[in-house]
Amino acid sequence: MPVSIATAREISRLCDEPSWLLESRVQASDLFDKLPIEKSSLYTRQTDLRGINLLDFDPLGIVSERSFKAESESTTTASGNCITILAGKVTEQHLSQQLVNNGVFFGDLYSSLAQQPNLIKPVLVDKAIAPDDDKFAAYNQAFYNSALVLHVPKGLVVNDPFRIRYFMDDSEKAVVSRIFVVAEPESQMTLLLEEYSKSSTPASNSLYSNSVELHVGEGARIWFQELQNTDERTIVLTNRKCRCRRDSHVSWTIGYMGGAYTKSRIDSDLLGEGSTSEEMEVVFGTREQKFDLNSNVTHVAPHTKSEIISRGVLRDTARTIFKGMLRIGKDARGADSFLAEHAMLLNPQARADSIPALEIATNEVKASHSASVAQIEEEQIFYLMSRGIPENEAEKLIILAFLEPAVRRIPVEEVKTALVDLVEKKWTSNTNSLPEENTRMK
Amino acid sequence: MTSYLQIQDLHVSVEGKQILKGLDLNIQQGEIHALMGPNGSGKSTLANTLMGHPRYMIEKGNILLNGESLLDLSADKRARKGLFLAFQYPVTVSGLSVSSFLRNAYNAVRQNGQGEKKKPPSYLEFKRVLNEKLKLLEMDETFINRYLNEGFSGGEKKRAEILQLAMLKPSIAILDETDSGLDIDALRVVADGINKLAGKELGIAIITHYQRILRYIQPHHVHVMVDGRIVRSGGSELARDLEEKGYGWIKENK
Repeated sequence: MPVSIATAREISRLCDEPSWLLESRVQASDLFDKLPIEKSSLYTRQTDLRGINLLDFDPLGIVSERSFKAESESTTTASGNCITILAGKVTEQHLSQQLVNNGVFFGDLYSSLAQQPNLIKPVLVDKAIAPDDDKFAAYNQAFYNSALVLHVPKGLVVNDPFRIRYFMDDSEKAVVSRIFVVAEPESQMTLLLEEYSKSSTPASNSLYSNSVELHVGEGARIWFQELQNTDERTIVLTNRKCRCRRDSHVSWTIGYMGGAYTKSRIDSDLLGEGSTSEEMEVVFGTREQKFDLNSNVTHVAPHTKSEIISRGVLRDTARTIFKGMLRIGKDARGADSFLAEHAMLLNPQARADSIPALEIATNEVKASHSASVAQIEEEQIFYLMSRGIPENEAEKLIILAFLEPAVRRIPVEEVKTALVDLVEKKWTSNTNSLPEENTRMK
Repeated sequence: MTSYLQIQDLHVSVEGKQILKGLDLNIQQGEIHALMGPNGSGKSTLANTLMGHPRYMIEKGNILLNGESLLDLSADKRARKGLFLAFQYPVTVSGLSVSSFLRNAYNAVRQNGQGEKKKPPSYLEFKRVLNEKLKLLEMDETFINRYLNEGFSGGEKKRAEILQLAMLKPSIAILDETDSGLDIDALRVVADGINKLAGKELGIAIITHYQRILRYIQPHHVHVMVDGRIVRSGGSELARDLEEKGYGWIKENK
């Protein structure tokens, strides 16, 4: 049975949601039906979702197969602060007693609503990611079957990272997830998000839709680090947005390795004076993978600063479209915005398109962007080979070198190592499977 | 066993144009050869062909290392058999550190190209050898943290080539215009490095347009190349004659 508004109602009923949450789903479902695949006239031509019907994937089965609330309460003996979600089901959940005592919440949405309704309800009502942002945001908000909340109270600096890991099932299911992160003023945290598939050679396609909202209080800092390494039959749709208050900072790192078709969007809204965002993106596409990546930075307040560094390597017939938009509003005097998107092609059949754009509504700002698409240089390969390095190794060293300007900026050492490791493994095997223990971020 | 490189009746074309027209040369481990010639005589074509650059087409002739033809071997296999080329224009690879590059090369040449998988030397072992060579060539340790040839001065690029030569310990090294683009101080430093590495273990062919590097490095043999062939060979006195009389003298007396 194809997915419809009835599906949204049924998920809501099974999750025992209050009526205002159901209302949000119904509204989003309606928008999903109405919205075109691409809203912006700037990008319409470039987006290609032909042959993919989101309604073919089942987001309901996951919910009806589990007793949603009871299981998400279960904890295991896992170390560190982590939540593991296997085929849409929370199988592992752990938060150190010390952080519990300090007032940190890290768990599912419904528990959060029960425990601290005054905190999380306004965040949901506020809709930082609006259902009419795009069709995929609407899909996510109509049919989500998993939702997590991370809340760090005022002034608390948490050094150990919070980890969320998704393992996709190899079925025609849809894992539709939402993550809400609330960093109270002056708090600091690192969130590591990883996506994997249970098998490298699945029998059928599956869908993974996620939305991440970062609410960053005054002077707070969030390091958001994501490694996307699902199998190459998964459709990956993600919307992420941060709202940065005065003097706050967000650092995004995203490693795109897996997925058949990845549509990803990041919005950084710099709302408070002196707030900053940085974004490091690394893409390694092989075979028939497609990546449609969209980054938007909106400078609303004065003296805000942003940087986007995107590096992509494409092999076989893989392709990327990178759309970067820097908006500097009329009150954002002294804003400083930088965007660099560079791609390297290893085959004549691989393709990369960069579409950088600037909208500046005030004077006294700094804004610049650079973009390039280049082939791997034969002279570099010959030079390395003349030192005894076999051709395949030489190419690997050259692509790692090409990715280095983004990789070296990754603020979390463990993520840097894990990402390089994933690139090397993918280079060697060209398959994405459930990683060995030592390749996973620890 | 002493290694030796034999170049026999070598004919090479680049993009359909004949550059080398029957070149013969033998280089033995322990010998220093200087290969001189005017612009366009085919010196760099020879260097690139020896290393196996895919753009150079061998029409006729052979290149043998220790009696074995190199013609069907890719550049990496030639390197692992003990051949080295110091580039006239070393290639920049931004994002690849000198140290990481050297480690990969060092491990690769130790695989010897015989198909057997030897265990690569440990990092500490590599680091020990690298520090020893840096010291020998009077190079700063921070040098290896820089990206390969990125932002290097002319002198630094050529010193980096000599450092690679020192690390990889080939039996035969071709130095392609290693003296070009260097001021006199840099030239002296680079020549000094080459002299430290020369000896019984290494055969060297210095390819040069000018005589000035030969004031610092004494070749055993000097060859003059004109129009894709060696037209005259002799001892180091030939270099002095060339300095006095110029290449015109050779061309007239061909």
